[in-house]
Amino acid sequence: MSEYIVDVDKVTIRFNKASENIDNLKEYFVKLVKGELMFKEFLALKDIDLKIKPGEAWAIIGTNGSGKSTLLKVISRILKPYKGKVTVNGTVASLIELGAGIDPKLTARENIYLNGCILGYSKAFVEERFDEIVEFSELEDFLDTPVKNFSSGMKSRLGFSVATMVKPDILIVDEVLSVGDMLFRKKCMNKMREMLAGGTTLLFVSHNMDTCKAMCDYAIWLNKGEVVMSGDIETVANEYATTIEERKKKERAAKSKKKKEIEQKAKEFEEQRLERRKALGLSDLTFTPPKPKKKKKKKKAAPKAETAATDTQTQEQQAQPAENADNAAAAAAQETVQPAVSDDAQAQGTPAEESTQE
Amino acid sequence: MTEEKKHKFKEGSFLELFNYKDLLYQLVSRDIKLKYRRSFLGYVWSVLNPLMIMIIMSIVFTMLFAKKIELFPIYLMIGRTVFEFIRTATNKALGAITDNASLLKKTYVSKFMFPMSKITASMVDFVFSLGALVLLMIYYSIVEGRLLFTFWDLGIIIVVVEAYIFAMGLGFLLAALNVFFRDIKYIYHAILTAWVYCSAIFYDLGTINKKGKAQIKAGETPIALYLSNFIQYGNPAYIYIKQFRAFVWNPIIDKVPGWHVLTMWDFVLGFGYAFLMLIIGITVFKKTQDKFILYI
Repeated sequence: MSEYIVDVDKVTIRFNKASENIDNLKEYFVKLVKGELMFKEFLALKDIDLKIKPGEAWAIIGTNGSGKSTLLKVISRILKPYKGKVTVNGTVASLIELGAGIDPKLTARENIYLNGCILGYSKAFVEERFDEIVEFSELEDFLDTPVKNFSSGMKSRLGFSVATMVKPDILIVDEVLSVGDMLFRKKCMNKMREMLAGGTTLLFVSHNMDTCKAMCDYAIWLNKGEVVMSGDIETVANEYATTIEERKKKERAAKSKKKKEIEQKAKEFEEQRLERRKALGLSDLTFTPPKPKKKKKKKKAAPKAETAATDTQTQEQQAQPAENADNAAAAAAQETVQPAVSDDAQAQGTPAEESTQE
Repeated sequence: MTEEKKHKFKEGSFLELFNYKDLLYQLVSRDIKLKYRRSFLGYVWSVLNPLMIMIIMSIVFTMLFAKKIELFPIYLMIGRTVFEFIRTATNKALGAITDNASLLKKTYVSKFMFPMSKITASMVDFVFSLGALVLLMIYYSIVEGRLLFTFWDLGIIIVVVEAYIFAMGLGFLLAALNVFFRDIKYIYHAILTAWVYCSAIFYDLGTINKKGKAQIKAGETPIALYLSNFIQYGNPAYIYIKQFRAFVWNPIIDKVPGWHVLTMWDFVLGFGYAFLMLIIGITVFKKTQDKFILYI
């Protein structure tokens, strides 16, 4: 046994990022004949080094898609590294997603046995700790209820209780505690602390820096599959927080810049549209909703247009009466039903419409 | 250390299954429990279903074939039960990895576990469904006025073992292939249909063989002879059915056709195919299992 309990040595994980996953023979042959079989490499982790001594608590932090879960999966043997080596000297209990092995059709009692066995324990071993598990999960009254009738909080309570029934050498926790009520979450935290005190090594993934700081001594910060920083939690977390803050600021600035650009463009297009319409000799007021009071305002707006395009006056005048007739009919119908409301709507509606027209 | 996990066998190997033998037991008992708990009649169904199918097929085929097979319902039932085991076991194993994708993505378990549990559950189911055969034989014992159970019946244990090993091998192979090529199941269903007709479940292989000999005499290409030879030596399902019949059906009929007499070679072939399939299945599965996670 080396001095490290977890030794991740220059691990690279490769995925196929091909646009479509070929998962059937027919497609495989078609692509083979066409010569389109390709492998688009995507490295989820690049040369990651992580050495953990027994009893340490490590937080893995990073934004979405930075490779945190992938790293946990490598350590818990679910993924095999493409390059590099992972050595784990001890038993691993991974809470990557609670209740992974829960069968909804079985009762809680049966699920405790099934899940225990999935985690690699023997039936006798689970039996010995059965009462303890039930007590911790607080599900005494629902032991013989099929799990499909459980709430998600109850399910995760069941999953957590089974997963932590023994003291594993390494406990891997991946944001599983986001479900469940406050009290249970605290209970889980206590259980994890208790395990830590008992010498268990903890690997913890969370976006909540406070929880990380409360639970862990060390942190590794991943970004796009690479280690940005690793060391004691305070420095890494603070550095991470400031970077995130800066990035957010930048993003915000970029966003407002983009917004301005878009608005500018929209304005230009609107102007172009108006010009085009004028050139074609159409009224730019075609889309005004049928409101009788607007007639006055239209007349205000119309002269501006008329001065700009005097040649098209006659056409406009021909177009307007037809519109007005429609408007009046619709407005009359509206007013008979709900006069008060339609007045309000007009009062609110007209200024906004004017602004878009201008 | 309070931990009591024992890892006697190497990670990724077939024998790693035995590190998880309690899990195998749990998964198998889950499958069986769920199958029988869900329905009102429970176990009765797994007996009633083959009996009903046997009755229909017996009526159809006794009317269809000129040559009578002695105690045809028992003959038919044996063929169907054995084939049904191979069919359901491999079919369930085929989807075992892809159906448990969510679990495989989250915890490490020996991947052999999933096809293995499905095949084992099917095997247990197969043994249960032998109850239908027992009922049928009791019925004929009463009708014929003689005891149709013999000491030889115990020999079927050998057949069950052979078929179990064979189904395991085929199941591993199919489960691994299905991860990469999801349309394997359609191809396999077509193969299964051909396989049913090639397993002499409701006919006597002797008739085909005779026809082949007649073809030789007539100077034609003896296609029927090729076919019967192929079935006799190249179809493991037929070999297991033949053995089963030799243990249960042969001792209770008046005149055993030479065709149904067992020789040493039947066991050599039967076990040979079983272990060959197992080796192929395990090898393919083992070679590909690390890539499963990328495709499920």
